[in-house]
Amino acid sequence: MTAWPGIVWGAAILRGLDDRGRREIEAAGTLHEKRTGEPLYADGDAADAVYVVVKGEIEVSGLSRGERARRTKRKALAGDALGEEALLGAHAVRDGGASCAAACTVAEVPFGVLLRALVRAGGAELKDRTARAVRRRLLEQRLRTSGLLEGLDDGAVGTLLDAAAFREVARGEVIAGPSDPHDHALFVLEGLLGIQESDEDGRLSPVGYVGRGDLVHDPRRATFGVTVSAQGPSSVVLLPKARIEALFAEGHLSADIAQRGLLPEARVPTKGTTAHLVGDLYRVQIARSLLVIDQDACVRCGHCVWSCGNAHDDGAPRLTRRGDKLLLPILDDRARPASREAAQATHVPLLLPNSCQHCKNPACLKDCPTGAIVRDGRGEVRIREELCTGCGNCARGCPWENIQIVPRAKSAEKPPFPDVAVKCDLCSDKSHGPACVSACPTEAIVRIDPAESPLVGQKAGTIEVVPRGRVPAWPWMILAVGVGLAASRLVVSSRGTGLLAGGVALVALVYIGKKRAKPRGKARGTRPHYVAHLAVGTLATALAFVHVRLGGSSPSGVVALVTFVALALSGFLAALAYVTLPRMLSRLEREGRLPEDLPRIREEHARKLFRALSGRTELVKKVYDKVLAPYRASRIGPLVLVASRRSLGAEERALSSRIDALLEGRGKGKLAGLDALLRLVVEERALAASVWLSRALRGLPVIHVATVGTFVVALVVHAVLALRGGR
Amino acid sequence: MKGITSDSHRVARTAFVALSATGGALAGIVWLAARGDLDVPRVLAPPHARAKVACTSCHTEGYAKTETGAPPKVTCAPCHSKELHASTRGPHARLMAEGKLTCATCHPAHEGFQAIAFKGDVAVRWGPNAEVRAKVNGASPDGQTVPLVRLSTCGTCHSVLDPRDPVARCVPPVAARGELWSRTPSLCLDEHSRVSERTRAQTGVCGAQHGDAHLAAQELAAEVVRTTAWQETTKIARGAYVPPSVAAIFAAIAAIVLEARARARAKRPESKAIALPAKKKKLPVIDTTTCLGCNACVEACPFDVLEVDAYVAKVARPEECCGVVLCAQVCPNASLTIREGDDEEPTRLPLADDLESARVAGVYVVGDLTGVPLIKNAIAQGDRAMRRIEETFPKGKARVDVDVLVVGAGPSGLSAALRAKSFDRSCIVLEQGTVAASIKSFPRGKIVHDPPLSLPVEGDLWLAEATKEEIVAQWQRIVRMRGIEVREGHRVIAASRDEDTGTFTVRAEGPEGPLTITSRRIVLAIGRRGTPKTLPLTLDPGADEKVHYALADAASFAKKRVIVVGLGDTAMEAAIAIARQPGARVTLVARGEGFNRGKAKNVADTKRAITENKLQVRFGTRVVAVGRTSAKLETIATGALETVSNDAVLVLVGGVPSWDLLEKIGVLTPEIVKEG
Repeated sequence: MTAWPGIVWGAAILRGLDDRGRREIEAAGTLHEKRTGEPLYADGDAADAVYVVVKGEIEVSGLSRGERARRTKRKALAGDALGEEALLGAHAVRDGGASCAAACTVAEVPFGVLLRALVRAGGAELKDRTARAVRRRLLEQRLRTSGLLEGLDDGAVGTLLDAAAFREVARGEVIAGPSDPHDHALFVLEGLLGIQESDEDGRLSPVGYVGRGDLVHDPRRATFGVTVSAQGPSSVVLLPKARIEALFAEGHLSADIAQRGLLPEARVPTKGTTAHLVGDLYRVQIARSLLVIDQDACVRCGHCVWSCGNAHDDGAPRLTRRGDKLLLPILDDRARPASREAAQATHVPLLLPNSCQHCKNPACLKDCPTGAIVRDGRGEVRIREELCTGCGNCARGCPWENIQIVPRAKSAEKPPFPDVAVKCDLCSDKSHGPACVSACPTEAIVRIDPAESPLVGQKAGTIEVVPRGRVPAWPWMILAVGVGLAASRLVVSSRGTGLLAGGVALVALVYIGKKRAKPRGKARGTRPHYVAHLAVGTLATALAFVHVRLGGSSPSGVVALVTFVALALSGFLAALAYVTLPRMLSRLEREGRLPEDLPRIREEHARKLFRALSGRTELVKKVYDKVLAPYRASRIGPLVLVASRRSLGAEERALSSRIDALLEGRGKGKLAGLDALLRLVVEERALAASVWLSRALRGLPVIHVATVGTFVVALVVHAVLALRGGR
Repeated sequence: MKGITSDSHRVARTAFVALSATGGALAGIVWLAARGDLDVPRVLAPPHARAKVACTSCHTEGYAKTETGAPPKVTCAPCHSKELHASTRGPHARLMAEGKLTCATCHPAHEGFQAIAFKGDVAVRWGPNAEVRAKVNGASPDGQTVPLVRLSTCGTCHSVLDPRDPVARCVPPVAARGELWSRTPSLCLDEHSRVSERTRAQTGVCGAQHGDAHLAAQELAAEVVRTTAWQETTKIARGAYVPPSVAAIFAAIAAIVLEARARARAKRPESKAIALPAKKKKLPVIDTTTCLGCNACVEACPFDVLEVDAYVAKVARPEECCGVVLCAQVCPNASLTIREGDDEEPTRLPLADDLESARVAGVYVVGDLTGVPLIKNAIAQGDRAMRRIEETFPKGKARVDVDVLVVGAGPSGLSAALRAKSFDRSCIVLEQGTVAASIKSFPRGKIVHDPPLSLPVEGDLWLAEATKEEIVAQWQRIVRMRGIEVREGHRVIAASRDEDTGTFTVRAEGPEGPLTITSRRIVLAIGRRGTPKTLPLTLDPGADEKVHYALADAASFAKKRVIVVGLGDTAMEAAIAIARQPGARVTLVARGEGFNRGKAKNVADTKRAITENKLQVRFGTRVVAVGRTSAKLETIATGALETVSNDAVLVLVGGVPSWDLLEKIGVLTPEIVKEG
């Protein structure tokens, strides 16, 4: 039994679906009522659904080749389906707009569910046929836009399209190896391919990227000679090389075009641009809303993660502070405008934590068996919890582990599925905006649209739009000391200063409330509160100092004083650590990691080290014995590394030059594997340093908070006794 | 949950530490209060203290409200006569009359109050809670008390250090140099001491203090002032450091407890142990009308039994199913259920639930032999069997060599021996090869995986995702460190049970000849590898050296032409490992026609290696003869023979379990052996 009108199931593409398929489509789909002239979708929109007209009439319009004005391509009447391009997968986009010609009712059928229902009901053939037609249309369009079909007559285009073979590749899949015969050119319909060269040891290093509308082709080569692999799920068209050569020979294609897709120079990111800095270019390109953390300012308090869990009913954070890190050369935005050109590019270490980035081509959406994952008009990817079965297919599909399966929030009725997939929802149902962003005391975390703040492909030092976290404002604290001392001139009595100092100290507690309360109402960042906390704390310290000078000594007063000194000192040290340590720490990290990861990473390092050492030449082992082993064993080594302010690379170079000095040029060619060893020992030392730095960063605030509890008790006792008169 | 990190724990943990600290502070304060040290009244000068003067006798009512840092208004009148104690100095007397100077201005009753009292021939210089004694030279004005006034008190009006100021004559030389002047008493002690007829007529305390003797006392007191120091009042804040210290200790303990708990939790993942062999052959059954095609089961299965086709899961390789039902646990809507087949597990040994042989009491069977796969399970089983042995170990003594004899030093055997060691049972491990021989036979560098869902490791053997070399090295280290007696190279040939005593006599053959050991219990951990299967090959003289039955080190096959016989996982993994060596040419020779078993990953890797031209495969073929530099292959269908040049042959077609030993011990009946 289905609730949708029967006419929907009569549409060609939905015919032959079984009951189960219909039920699933109804659960995931929607019936839309539209007024005349109301648009259904527009050109270039993400195509996630196929539509079936129930009532009324829909007009599909678009630009055809060679035309300047929009033209109605077709009219869909009741029972007709439209928007079949959705069958191409998650990276499909609309190649025309659709709007209601007359008041209409339309059924929206999410493509993921449709695909499954179709294939299960034996409609694979129909689906393939439809997809083939759509693909061919798309290929022609793309070939034209990239100028490859210029000057070809329809017949020649037809033969080329006929010869095309389509291939869908998954992320990481190798499309062509170095020794594979280069008997076809690769045209990228959608997605991103990486071109890598392999060295003698079989290690791959990227030499370039090709994306939508690019051609991988080299007439001079018989084999590819490079590895071409998919950086993300891509749609690739194999065009027979012979066919393309023939087109060249017949003079249809210009030499200019022939040069364009050459291997391996194709789209090589020139040195000095940011593209080659990004280990995972696809990730940045595909993201619509990327969460980034400025590691130089991030105090590793983890408050972003905590507040994320706090903002959601199930209490599960949608964000973990692990992930890739990229060093972005940017203009120093704090430099004065005049000196900007002269200013050296500064490198900002940005962490891309595991948090949904609302991909343009979401793998999760495609993988969802019930169509629970949808995109809205702005491209925001959302999970409809009522449809989610918690099967985990999306979590496995996401290449960056940005989705988690967690137990559902407790509710009155027992849910049919105990688990649910959760991911960042941008806190879009909350007025305060992303909780993680507003929770950050140093404004180090921010959501950016990589397309708007062009992170990738820019020359070093041209990027301006990146977040810069900010450390505490010292002027406020200095001002607070001044205010405190001035106040002490006005209030000279012991009791007066005592009450003032105690009151101000209690005001500083407001910060805890602000940080830990469930965010409500309009967004206001935590940073003003943090700065205010520091200022108020400083003021309280100044007043307490005056009070102690004026007052006598009583046991309760001494208790309060001792706890307050511990409180102020730990607070000061924590604030100092927040300013100084993040930079030290980010210099030592190659990726985002949590303190609890460090012991495991250290263990792994030790194991890797012994593996890297085994089977090496005597010379390498001797070098290890003489230089690297003492380097590892040094207890103050981590401290020296931090004090030297060297980056990991610089430390490696320094160590390497020490070895070179020792060898004096001997033993060339017998040092294979030494670089790997160097890297490992330096990393090991950096890890040890990281452990201590993270302990300081994380431990000092804990001590501070613990002293708060102690002080509040001592203060209350002291105040009660003093006011009672017993001092 | 994967998303739960220290970031999300941190708030609760910090709060715990803070609350502990607060609790500590409270406890400390309560302790202080209980001792009466928290709210001590201000110290009093000894005469006042002796007289038990109450606050309210000096401070008029409401004094608590007047405290502004200025001296509180006090009245000394009830006890001391104001008239009598008027200052002899005109300006002071005037100020007193105007009320601008009170007794308390110069003589604070609390900390600042000091005096010198003469008792016998001793001068006692006292302050509140403190006193010092000095011997008086010459005649002592016994019973006289001379109050002292701090120069700092004079300093509120006078310029004490200015020689033109009248006070200058009262300043002792040390203070005149600008040192210690706040703690130095004035030397002018004659403020009130003009002796008159009236004062002479006084009796009692007053009379005693205002007689001629008092003048002498002042003289002497000036001397004492010069020679003794100002008496600091001490110990006001006794115990004040206790509450902060207790708070710090509490916080530290809380932090240590949290750390220890986090570590303990990180160490032992919890899940249900599956250590018993399935009684019946189990197979997943999929309801295709509800299956979501979500891949959860496919991901969960460690043996690639399942795959998804047309968005519906199906059982692709039923023969690989191990009956460890991870797939059913992860299915979101119970589309996948486990059906217990009618077939008994074909090679199942008759075992009781606790791994004891159902046929021979006292013999326990663990490891691969039970039909339960995975190294982790083997470790858990060894552990479990030994726990059971310990529980049921017969009381009383028996004349045996060891309590427990373990046969086989693989993961399950070592695990059992380790547990025996922890129970203080004497134990010997007999091993026909070497420690962890089964793992050593893995290809070099093979990563020994954890299964996708973590099964618990209950024993002490270390197992993580590591290469086989690391595992073997680690296990050897464990054996050495824990002092487990492993006799390598000893092959058990027979074992018999003495029905009267229930003890076993085991005969084995070792490098030093035959060996007989008696024991109370036997743990059979011999695995299924047994002895590798061999092929009926015609071997040329000298060619036997190039035929191997296990791949120890792929690197040694570099630049060689190698034939690998078999198409199971072991054979495929070995072939791929060798194919990666520079210059190696590998041919896989299989009797069947196509890939019909093995893990999907291995099949895919092999196929890729074939397309990359790194290795060849010959289906429907067998090796019939091996020469020194060649091998003869036969196409089974046609019988056609072909000679290929060859440097090495690896026969990896599985092994023959030691059924005959099992039969001799009695855990298997001949019939089962036949079927098996």
